[in-house]
Amino acid sequence: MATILIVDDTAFMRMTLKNILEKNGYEVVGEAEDGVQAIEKYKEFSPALVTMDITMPNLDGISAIKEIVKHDADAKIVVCSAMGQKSLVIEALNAGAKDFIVKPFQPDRVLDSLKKFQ
Amino acid sequence: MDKNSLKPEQIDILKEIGNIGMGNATTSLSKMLEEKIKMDVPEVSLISLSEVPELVGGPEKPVAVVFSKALGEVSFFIIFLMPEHSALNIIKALTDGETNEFCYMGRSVIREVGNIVGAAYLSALSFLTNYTFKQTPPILAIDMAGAILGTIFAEADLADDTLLLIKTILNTELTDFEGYLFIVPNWEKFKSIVEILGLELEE
Amino acid sequence: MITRVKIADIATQRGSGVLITVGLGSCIGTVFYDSKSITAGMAHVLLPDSTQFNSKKQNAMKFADTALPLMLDNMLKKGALKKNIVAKIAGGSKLFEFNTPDGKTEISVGEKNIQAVKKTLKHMGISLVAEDVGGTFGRTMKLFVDTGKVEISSLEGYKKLF
Repeated sequence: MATILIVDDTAFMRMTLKNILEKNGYEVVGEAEDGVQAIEKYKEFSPALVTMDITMPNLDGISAIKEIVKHDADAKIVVCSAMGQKSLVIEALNAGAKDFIVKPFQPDRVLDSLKKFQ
Repeated sequence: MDKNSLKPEQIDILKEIGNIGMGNATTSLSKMLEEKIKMDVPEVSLISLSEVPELVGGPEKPVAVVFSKALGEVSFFIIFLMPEHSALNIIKALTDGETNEFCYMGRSVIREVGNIVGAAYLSALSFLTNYTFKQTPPILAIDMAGAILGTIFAEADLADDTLLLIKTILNTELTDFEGYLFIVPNWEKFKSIVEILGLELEE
Repeated sequence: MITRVKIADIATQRGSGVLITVGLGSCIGTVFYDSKSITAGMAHVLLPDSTQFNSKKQNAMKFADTALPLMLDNMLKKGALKKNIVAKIAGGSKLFEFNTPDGKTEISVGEKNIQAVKKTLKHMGISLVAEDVGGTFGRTMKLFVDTGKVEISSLEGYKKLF
C-alpha cells in the first residue's frame, strides 16, 4: 500500500482527497495545512507520494515543493490546486512537481495521475 | 476617480473581463455541484463605498464572504459573497447532507468554493492578458454584509470614495444558491489591463 | 425620525428620533451627545488617519481625525455646547484574520481605528463615557436622541445598552 501525504489549507479538501485515496488503497500517513508543515511532515514520514496545494498561508506550495525536492530529489509530488494559470503550472513543474491537477477535479483524474508515479 | 472617467468602450472591455472570468468560475462551480449554473451578464459600475451593501440586500443582511487579494503586475480584490442560506445550502450539497452549519468543516467548504471560483476567474484573466496572478489564501467571514464589506474597504486603504466594481450574480436551481462576485481593482493600475485588451480588440 | 448613517457618513439630530448605523465591522460608530440641549450626532468612521492620503477629493467623514471634528461643528451649529458633549463608541472588531507573509498577525484595522478615535477624542477634549469595541463580530448601533441611550446588537443576538 503506497503511503501519501496530503497538503491543503482547507479541511474540506483534505477530507475529500483522503476519502478518494483511502477508498482506493492508499495509506494517508499525514496531512499538512501549509508549506511549512508539508516540509516537516515529508521529512517525518517520507511518503511515497504527495498531493500539494499552491495557495496556502505561511509558505506556498511551490516554495514547499522546492524545499522538499532539495531534501529528496526523488520526491513524487502531484499538485492539486485551483490556480490553473499556465505560468504557475510551468513554475510548479520546474520546481519539481510531477503533475498538475486543477481543482475542481474528478476523482479519477487524481487516481490516474498518482498511479503513474507508484 | 471621476464618475465619467470610464468610456463606453472601456466598460465593454471590463464587462468582457467579467464575462470570461466568471464563465470559467461558473464552470468550476458547476462541476463541484454537478448542476447547471446561470450567470447574469456582468455589471460594471463606479459606485460609492456606502452604496455597495445595498447591492446585496442591505447592510444588515447575513452573508458569508470569501475574500482574497490577487497579486501580480496588477493587484485587486476578489470578493465572493453569498447570502447565509445559500452558503448553508452549498455546504449541504458538497458534504452530501452531512454538514449544514457553519462548523469547522462547513466554513472550510465555503472557503474552498470561494477559492475555486476566485482562482478560476484569475486563470481566465491570465489567459486573456498573459499576466500571472498569485492569490493570497482566501479568508472567510460570516456576519452582516455591511460589517464585512466595510472591513474589506478599510483593508483596501481606499483614498477614494468610489469603487470600480465588476459584479456578477450566479444562480442555481437544485441547490438554491445565489452568489455575487465582486472584483475591486485599483482603477489606475487596472487601466493597463483594459489597454492591453483594448488593443487586442481593435486588431 | 429614524436617520440611517452609512459607511463614511455623519448625521446630527435634535430633540427626538433615532440615529442608526448598521453593520459596523472594523469601522467605529461614534456618538456625541449633549443632554442639556438634547443634541445627538453619529459618525461611521472607516479609517484611522486622513493624513496618509493626499487625494484632493477626500471625504472627511471617512477618517477618525477629520470626521469627529466635523461632527462636533455640525452639532455646535444645531445649538449644542462643547462642554456638555460626551462620546460613546462601538465597533473596531476583527472579522478576518490577516497574516503577513512571515506568519505574524498584523494589527487589525479595527484596532487601529479604536486607537485613532480615542486619540482624536482626547485631542478634542471630549470625554469617552462608554464603549463596546473589539471582538470578532459585526455590530449595529442605535442612538435614542431623547435619552442619549445607545443600543448595540449583533446577528447572534448579542445586546448591550449604555
